[in-house]
Amino acid sequence: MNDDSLVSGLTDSERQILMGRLYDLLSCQTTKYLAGDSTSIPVETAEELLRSLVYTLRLALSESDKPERELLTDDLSERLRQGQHILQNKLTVAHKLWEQVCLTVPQISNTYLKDTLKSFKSFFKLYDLWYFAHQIPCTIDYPLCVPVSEELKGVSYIEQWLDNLLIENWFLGRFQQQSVRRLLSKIAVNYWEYPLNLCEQPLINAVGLAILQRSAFPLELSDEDCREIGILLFGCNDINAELNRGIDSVAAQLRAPKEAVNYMRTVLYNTLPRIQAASQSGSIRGIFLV
Amino acid sequence: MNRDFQLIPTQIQAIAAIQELRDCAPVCQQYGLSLSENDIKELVSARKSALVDSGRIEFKGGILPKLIYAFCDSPYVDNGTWVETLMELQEAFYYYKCDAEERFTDDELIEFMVKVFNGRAQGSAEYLIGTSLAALCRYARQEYDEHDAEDSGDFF
Repeated sequence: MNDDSLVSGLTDSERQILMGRLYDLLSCQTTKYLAGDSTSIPVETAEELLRSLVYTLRLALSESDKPERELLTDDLSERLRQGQHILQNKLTVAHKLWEQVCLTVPQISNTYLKDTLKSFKSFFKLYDLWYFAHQIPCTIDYPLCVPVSEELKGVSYIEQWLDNLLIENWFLGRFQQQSVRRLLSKIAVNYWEYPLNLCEQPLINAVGLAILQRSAFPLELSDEDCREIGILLFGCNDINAELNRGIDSVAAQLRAPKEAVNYMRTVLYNTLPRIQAASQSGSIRGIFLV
Repeated sequence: MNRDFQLIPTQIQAIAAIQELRDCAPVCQQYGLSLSENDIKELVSARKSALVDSGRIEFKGGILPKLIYAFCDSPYVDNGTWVETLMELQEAFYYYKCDAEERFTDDELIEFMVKVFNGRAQGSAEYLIGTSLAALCRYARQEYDEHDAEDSGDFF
């Protein structure tokens, strides 16, 4: 199913039925939203109300493990209520996650991270799960190592975003903050002023050290280390397998939980094209930082 | 927007609007005003254009019944121009609604329109349409004296 089609594989008559059912639900929802103040509504607002309905209904169906075709026969009002109940729970979970993230944030300054975390406060204040559940009323400027899919909407997006950041916080918390700061200042002296992810480079360097079968904790690599990593990576048959071995070693050293290990794998997997490109030039120094 | 769904008025909606207008006929008759079946169809069709022009959508019958109830006792309406006046009022209403960016409820806007229509505009829907939202609100809030030449300067 894609964004253009609510339910895939519908016949024309089924599509008509679904349209009629959604139209009735939107009509009820609009009446509630307007609260008797108006008979009409801007088309843009109606479209937003509809997006919210679709998001909430899809969420309810996926949580109940029901196929989306159920929308043709389901009691949509009941399904909507179920979706809104799920959203309420998700909002509570997201708020707890946010608190956890704030408590575990590394002692490494970054304006974008600070502003983004502050902005979540407005999300929890402004988020409207009844009418605009798909919206994200806050500003997220800090880039994660693993970006959250744009297909996720509303509180689902926020939940995933905070989940990812919590893992990054956990990872950074395993290292001496001084070592992390020293490494980041090699990217930019005033790294705290840039929309720079704090976790990615420490993770890459840690894996580099692990590939050399050394402790990951210092995070420091020399020119000689980089050359050696290059030889090991470019000389092997499967770079990905070699990186995975490095991740396994880092995970063991940090006593990483499963979700953190999977996250690290995704980060390194995303770095793979850069490493492959670096193999053409023969130098890996731009990836593993000296 | 979703391919399965388009925000266009449905046939059912048009039927509901027709029925709502039919229900208004007895009230109109009390003031010597009538609405034939053709008039009703014309009004419903004009409503669709007014909504499209103002970028709005309605799910229930529409604003016409409220306009009918608000304007049917105006001293400036008569049976000969009733339908035409309703069409113009409907157009003006949606124009104001759009301009007001949801700051006024339907009832508040209609109240302003009635005040200006029966006061400064002296029954001219054309004048009402030519009045900006800001001026409409200002005019509605101040008392209008038709014998005050200075106050009626922009009308003549």
